[in-house]
Formats: sequence, structure tokens, C-alpha cells
Amino acid sequence: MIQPLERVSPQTVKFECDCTLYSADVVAKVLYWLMGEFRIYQQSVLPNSLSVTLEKKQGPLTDVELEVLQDRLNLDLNDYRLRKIIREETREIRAILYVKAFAPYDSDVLSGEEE
Amino acid sequence: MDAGYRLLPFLFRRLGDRELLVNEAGDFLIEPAGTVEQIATHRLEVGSELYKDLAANCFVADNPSPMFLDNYACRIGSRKAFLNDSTTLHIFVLTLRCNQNCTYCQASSRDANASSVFDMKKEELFQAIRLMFQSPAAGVTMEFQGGEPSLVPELLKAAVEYAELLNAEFEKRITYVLCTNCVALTDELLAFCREYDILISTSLDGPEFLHNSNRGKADSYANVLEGIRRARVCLGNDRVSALMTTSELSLQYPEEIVDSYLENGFSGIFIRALNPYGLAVEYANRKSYYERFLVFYQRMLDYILRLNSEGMFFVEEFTALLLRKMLSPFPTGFVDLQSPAGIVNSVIVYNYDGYVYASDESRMLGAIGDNTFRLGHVSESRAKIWAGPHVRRIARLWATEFIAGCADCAYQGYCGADPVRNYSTQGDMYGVRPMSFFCGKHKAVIDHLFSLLIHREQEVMPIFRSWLSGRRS
Repeated sequence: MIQPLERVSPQTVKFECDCTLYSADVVAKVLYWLMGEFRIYQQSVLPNSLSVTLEKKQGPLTDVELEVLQDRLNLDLNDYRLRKIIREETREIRAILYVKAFAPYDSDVLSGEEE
Repeated sequence: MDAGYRLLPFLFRRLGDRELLVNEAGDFLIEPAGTVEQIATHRLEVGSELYKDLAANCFVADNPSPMFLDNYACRIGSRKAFLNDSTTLHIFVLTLRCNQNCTYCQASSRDANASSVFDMKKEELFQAIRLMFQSPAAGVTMEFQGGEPSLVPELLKAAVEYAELLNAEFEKRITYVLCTNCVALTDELLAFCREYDILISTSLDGPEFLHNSNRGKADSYANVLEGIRRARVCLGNDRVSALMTTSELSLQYPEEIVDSYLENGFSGIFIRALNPYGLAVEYANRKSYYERFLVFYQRMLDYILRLNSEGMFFVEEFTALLLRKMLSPFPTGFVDLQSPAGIVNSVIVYNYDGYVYASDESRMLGAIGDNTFRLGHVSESRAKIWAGPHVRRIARLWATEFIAGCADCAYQGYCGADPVRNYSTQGDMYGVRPMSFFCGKHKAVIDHLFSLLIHREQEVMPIFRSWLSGRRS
């Protein structure tokens, strides 16, 4: 969970993220999906804290939208944290699976042909 | 990591109060919210019913044995079996000239009476066919497009006869497809189609007023239907298929479009959104179009499901393609939704001017002066075209498995990468998924299908299975 979003202006909110809970790559992936609707500004404020400002691209951010955004951020941060756990724990086995899956076809059919 | 079990790679997505889990082979489970947290943090009770389900479906394992890994890898490989064949769909743009005037034309076609400079030169056509035969694929499809290819019957005949001649040596399975508006099909051309078993793929946009409006001709509907009738008589009903394109006007008439397909003897329809090429790029508000397209898709699919529930067998082909990816272990051959992308890997285009493009959409960009996806000329070697600098550049970003936004998406295995679409809509091949209509559309469509499977399984599953088997439920 992050602290409640702080409204900075009618179209801008900010929050701080504890990077001991959510790593920088997890935060980056969450923010990536907000790029369509928001301009995003990030700043490191402490060794393990990230300040994020979100500015809505079109129109003011209503109270309802603010609430939806808060819920979305909390869910997405948690989901990307879980994805990271799964990805890191399964990285090796995934590599093995893909090597085995495509090893029989690991030849360049175009090799040897004159360019 | 706890000693209890090991995670196997999987992706997930929230669907309301459920979580959809999809493994590397595309198999999925739908579980209550909170399940993924339990699995990932190793708080799952080994031996529980959920654990058994997850283990049976390759989401977790006690201690994966080499045999298990071999079997699982084999299933992953099967889903990518389309790569084994190399390029199978070879599109020949025989001419840019056309006898219709479609409002949404994506091919930048020219008037039927325009100069023959817009027709493919026979020598270059033969060079293209020789390139096609160098493909390692055991079976290839030669698709003739335009403009309107029936305006150059002599080129069509020359292409088929030359391919047959060369095939005496290569012995490939060749499927011929003539993409035509059916307006100018002569008896002679139809007889030729019958002789070489050529499939007819045509366009029908719906009821008369809608079709004529889209085509920019008052008599188009009558002419197309007459052409379809004659083609069916000559070739057989199953040798003639039709595609519809969803214009702005079409968005208001989903049920009427399905009814017109039924009235005209079709047993299915392929719901196809406009592509952002050619004239179609000029539609004012692309965002609004895609939002309305999704409503249109859901309304049309709902209507089709109702008809099937009442005993009719009528397939929505785009849905069937997605369902095949979701419910079966096999690839579909649908080049628009593949990873690695269908361009080059599965489809290549020989344009009327002798240049080779990565896909049909690539040559449409070429037609408006952008040759980013022009791979070379038919006079060049296969190695230079298929593995030249253009393809190597595109290949760095043509797989959903590793591009931003797709790499974590649960629909990765059902969707596809489309560098051409990214480039044409966002100005860069890599693309930004949160602002991609391609991504938004496919996510919404697949969400809808999973929603149907969750909330209306008893009703829709028999219908979906019948679509995949091709038999009535």
C-alpha cells in the first residue's frame, strides 16, 4: 500500500513510494501503464523513497477518478511485485524450457545462402 | 524459497473478483482473487485441491523432472510451430488498379482505367514466384491481391501456370487465393479458377445500403452478389468466402450485417476493424472509432451467440481464432496475432512495382510514400530480403515475450506483436502499449471472451467448441 494520494492542483497528484516495499522496476512498470492518461515526474527524495507526481493530460482529476487511481496504484504495485517474484524464481527454468522447446530448430535456414 | 514446491513461469491478470493465470503453454486457470499471492509467496498447501490443479496445469511443481521439462517444452514448441515452416503466405499485388471506390480503401488503389504502369511486370512476377519456391515451407499460399486482381487475368493465369510448372520440381502444397470484389469475374476467369482449385475471397460489408455506401458505387452490392452467385455455381459454395470491414457507418448496424450474411448463404463472418492505412487513416477520431468498435463487436457477438443458441450454426471467425489460441494447444496461422510477429515469419508481399514488403500493411505504408518496411526487390536473393538489415532491425522488437507492456501481460500467448502497426500509429516500431489501440482492442476483446467463459460458460462453451471443431454443437 502507498500513502493516500496528495492533491497538488486540480489535475495533479503526488505520492511517495517506499522502495524497500516496491522496487524501482516494479514502480516503473506500474507508471508505464499510466502514460496514456498522465504526465509522470519522478524524483528520489531519500535513499529508499521515490516521489511521483502525476499530471492528468486532459481536464481536472475528479474526486471519483482520484479514488479509482488510488485503488489502481495499490493493486498494480502489488501485482507487479508478485510478477517480479514469479519472474525471478522461474527465470532459470523458463530459460531451460525455451532452450529445450526450440533446440531442435536452432538452425538458420538462410545461413550459407549468398547475401 | 520454501522446500514445499517450485513455481513454474506464469502470468496473471485480474478479471473482476477473479484472477486469470496463464502458463507458458497458454493453458489457463481462473481462480478467486488472492490466489496468485498465495502461490507466489509459497503459502499454498501442498496436496490441497488447488495445488493439485496448479501442478496438473504446470503452474507449480514439486521437483520438475527432466522428463516433465521435456514434455512441457514440447508443448511450448507446439504453440510456435508456425516458425518451423518459415513464410507460408505469399501475397502478390498484381495491380493497383481497381473498379471500386471504397470509402475506407487501405490499398491506395488507382482507377480501373489508369495506366498499366500500376500492373506488375511479368518478369518481376516470375522472379517473385521463384523467391516463393525458395521458402522451406512444405505448403504455401499464393494470394493474389490488388487493387482488383481480376482486372489483370492474364497475369493471374501466368502466375498460376508458372507456379505449377516450377512445382513439378519442388512438390509443395500450393493453395491459391484470389482476393476479388467479384464485380468483374468473367466466365473464362471462373473456369480457370475451377481448373486450378483457386479459392475466392471477397468483401461484403452488410446490407445493400451499407455496402454501397462503403464502396462508393450505387450498384456495387448487386454486382458483388451476382459475382458471388456465379462463383459459387462454378466453384462450389465452400470455395467462396467473404470478409467485412467495419466502417464508421457499419458501427451502427451489427445485427443487420449478420442478417445480410445469413441471407446471402454464409455460415460465418469475420469482424474486422479498419486498419490505420490508406484512406482509413483519415478517419477523424481513431480513439472514438476503436471505443465504438468494441461496443459493436460485443453487440454482434452477442447476436451471433443468440442465433447459435437457437440452433443455427454461424461462426464469428475472429472470435474463433482467439478461442483456438485460448482453448487449444495449436497455433492458428493468423498472421496478425503472432509472436514472433507474422510479418516476414509467416507472410511476405511482392508489390506491383517489384519491391518486397514485410506485410500487406507494410506495402500500404509504401503506397503513401513510407518505405520503412520495404525489404528489397524481387531481383535480390532470398537471404538478402529475409535476413537483410531491415529484417534484423525489425526482429529485435517483434516478440511479445520481451517488449514492454507485453512481457508481463497474461494475454501474451494469445495476442501478437505488430511493429508495422506501432510504427504507423505511434511513429516507432517498438510502440507504447498504454497508448496502442491494437493493444487496447485485443485486451478488451479477450477480456470479453474470458468474461463470457466465467459468467455464461454453460451457454457459450458448447457453441465455442462447435466453432473450433467446425461441427454443430
